[in-house]
Amino acid sequence: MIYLFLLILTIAILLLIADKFLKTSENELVTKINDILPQTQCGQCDYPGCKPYAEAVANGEAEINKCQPGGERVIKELAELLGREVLDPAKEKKTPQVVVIDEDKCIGCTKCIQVCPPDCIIGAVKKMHTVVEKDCTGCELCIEVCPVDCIDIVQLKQSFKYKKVKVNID
Amino acid sequence: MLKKLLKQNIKTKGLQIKPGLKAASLDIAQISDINSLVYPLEDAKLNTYIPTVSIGDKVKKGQVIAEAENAHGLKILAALDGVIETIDEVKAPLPQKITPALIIKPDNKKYWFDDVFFNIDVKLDEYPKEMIFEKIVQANIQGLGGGLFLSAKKILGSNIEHIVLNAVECEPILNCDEAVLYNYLAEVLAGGIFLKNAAKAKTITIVLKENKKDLINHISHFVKNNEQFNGINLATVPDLYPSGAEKEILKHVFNTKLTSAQHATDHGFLMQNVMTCVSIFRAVTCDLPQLERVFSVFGKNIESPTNLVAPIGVTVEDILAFLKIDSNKVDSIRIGGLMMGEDIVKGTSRKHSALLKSSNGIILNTYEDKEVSECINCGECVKACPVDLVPNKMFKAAQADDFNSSYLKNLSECMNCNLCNYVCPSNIDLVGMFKYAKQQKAMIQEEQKRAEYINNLTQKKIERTKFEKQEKERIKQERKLARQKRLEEKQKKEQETNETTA
Ligand code: SF4
Ligand code: SF4
Ligand code: SF4
Ligand code: SF4
Ligand code: SF4
Repeated sequence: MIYLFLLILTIAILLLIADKFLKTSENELVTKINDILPQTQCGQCDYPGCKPYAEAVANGEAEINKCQPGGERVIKELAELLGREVLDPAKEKKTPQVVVIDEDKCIGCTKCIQVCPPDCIIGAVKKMHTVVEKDCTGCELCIEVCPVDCIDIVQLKQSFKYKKVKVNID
Repeated sequence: MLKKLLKQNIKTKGLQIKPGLKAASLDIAQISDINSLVYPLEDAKLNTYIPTVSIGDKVKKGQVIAEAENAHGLKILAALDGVIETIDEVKAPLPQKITPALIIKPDNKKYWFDDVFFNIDVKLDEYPKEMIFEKIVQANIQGLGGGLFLSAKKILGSNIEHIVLNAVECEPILNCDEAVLYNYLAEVLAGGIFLKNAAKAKTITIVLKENKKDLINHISHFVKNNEQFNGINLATVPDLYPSGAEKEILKHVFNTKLTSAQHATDHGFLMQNVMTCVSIFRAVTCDLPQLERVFSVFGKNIESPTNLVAPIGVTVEDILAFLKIDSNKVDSIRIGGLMMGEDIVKGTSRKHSALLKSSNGIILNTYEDKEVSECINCGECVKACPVDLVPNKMFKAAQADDFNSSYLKNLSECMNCNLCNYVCPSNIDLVGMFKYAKQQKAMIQEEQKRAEYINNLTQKKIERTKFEKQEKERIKQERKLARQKRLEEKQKKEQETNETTA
C-alpha cells in the first residue's frame, strides 16, 4: 500500500517537473524566435507585434515567412532554428524607408502618435506633428490612420559597395 | 632569452612578388596644369560627405567644402582657390563604385607645391603638445597609408608608448614612400617627433624593408648626424608581401600579436605612414592643411614612370596630360597598389576620375580579363594566407550566405591582402567575396543593433501607454469619488436643512 502511494507521489512530482520543463522550453523557444525577429513591431506579419508572431510560430500556427522587414535572413534563421523548410518570403522585402508628415496639412489629431510602435512622432493635440527620422522604421502604420492623408513615404539611399562575386561554373 | 626564442619562432608568411614593371624614379615631380578638382562625396572607407558650399561659391585653398555625414570629424578641403562648378551632377569613380562628386574650377590653372623644409635651428621639442594636437586637427590630417584614420584620433587613443613610422611599402613596384624618404627625410622624422611629443610616447621606430640597403644607410647616417633625431630607431622586415601591414609589423618587429578586434593603439603603438608625418610637419610648423600627397604612376608600356606630388582631387586626365601619356593608349586604370588597389569601374570618364587621399598609386594598363574556373581544392590559397585563414572554405560559406559558418568566424582577420587571389590557379575572386561577406556581416550586426534599439523604444511606448491609461483611470476614479463625495455632502446638507425646517 505504502509503495503504491510512493509510486503515485513520484509520478506526480515527475509530471510536475516535466510540465514546468516543457513550459520553460516553450518560453525559451518563443524568446529565441523573438530574438531573430527585427522588433519593428509593425504588424505586417498580421500579428500585433513581433512577440505575438513569435508565439504563433512557436506553436505551429504561423508560417515562418511572414515577417516582411526581416526578409530572407529571418526566414533562413527561423528555418534553421525550427528545422523547418526555407520558404520564399510572403511579401517582398522593402528597401529602407521612412515617412514624413506634410506639416502644412496636418490637423494635429494625434491619431498617428497612437499607432506608431517606436513612438517616433512628436506633437500635441491640434499642433503640427513631425516624425523623428532616425527612429522611424517605415512600417507605414501611421499612413493608414491619418484622416487628411498627409504622411508620405521617403526612400532611404543604401550604400552597398560590394556585390556577391559570381562564379560561372558550368 | 625567452623573448628571443619567441621571436625566432614567428614565421613570416608572405610572398615575393616581382611583376615585370618599371618602377618610378625617386625624384618627385610636381604637376603643373590643373583644369579641375574632383571630390567624390564618399571615400574609400564608405563615409559619405555633405557639401557645405553651393554651386557658384568662391572657395579658398584649404577651405572646408564638405563634412562627413556620419560625423567622424572627417572633412574635405579645397586644394586650390576656385569656384564650385557642380555638385552631385557628375559621378566620379571610387574603387568598385561610382559616386556623386563635387567639382572645383580653379581660378588659376598653374599649381605649385609650397615646399617647406626642416630648419636645423628649429628646436622641435619646444613646440607644446597642445599646440601640435590642435594643428593636426586643424589641418585635417588623415593617414595617407590607406587607412584614412584621423591622426588626431590616434593620438587621443589609449596610452601611446611607441611611435612607429611605417615606410615598408610592401606593395610591389610602388615606391612613393621611398621617394618621400629621399626627398623629405628630415621632415618625416620631425613629424615623427611631433607625434611622439603630442602623444607623450617614449620611442620612435622607423620600419623599412630589409632589402632597401641604400635607403637604410642613408637614414641611419642622417639620424646619427643630427642631434635632434639621435634617439630614433631603425627596424627592418623581410622583403615579402604583406610585411608592411600594421599587424605584420607589430608581429615581426615588436613581437606583439593583435587579435582581430584590436588596433595597434590598444597595445600602445601609434603607427603612421611616413608621408603623413610630412603632412604633420607642414601643419605644425607652417599651418598648412593636408591638401597634397605623393603617389607613383606606372604600368605596362609606360616609358617613364614617375612619382608625383599633386593636390588631392586632381583628375587622371590632368595627370596623363602632364606625363604626356596618350590617353587613348591607356586601357585600364587601377587606383592603389597592384595587390590591394582596385580597378576603377569601366566606362567612367577620365575627366572625373580623381586622385583620392588614399591613392598611393595610379597604375595603367594592368587589367587582364582572366577566365574563372571551378575551385580545384589545391590548397594554394590556404598556404598563402598570411593570417592562416582558409580562403577556399570561406568562399564557399560566403557564397551560400552562411555567415554563421565557423569558417567565417575569423573573417575580420582577413586584411584584404589579395594573396589568395594572386595564387589561385582558377582565378577565383576570393577577396571580392570576402569584402562582400564583411559588408553583409556588418549589415546584419547593424540590423540587430537597430532591432534592439527599436524594441527598446517600442517597450517604452507600451509602458507609457499603459501608464497613461492607468493615470487616466486614476483621474477618472478620483473624479468619481469627488463627485460622490460632493453628492453625499449635498444630500447631507439637504437632510440637515430638511431636519431644521422640520
Ligand atoms: S512583420 Fe516582422 S517586424 Fe513586423 S511585427 Fe511582424 S514579426 Fe515584427
Ligand atoms: S512614423 Fe509611421 S512609419 Fe514611422 S515607425 Fe511610426 S508608424 Fe511606422
Ligand atoms: S494622423 Fe495625420 S493629421 Fe493626425 S496628427 Fe498625424 S499627421 Fe497630423
Ligand atoms: S584570406 Fe584575406 S588575409 Fe588571407 S590571403 Fe586572402 S585576402 Fe589575404
Ligand atoms: S587556390 Fe583557388 S583553386 Fe586552389 S583551393 Fe584556393 S580557391 Fe580553390
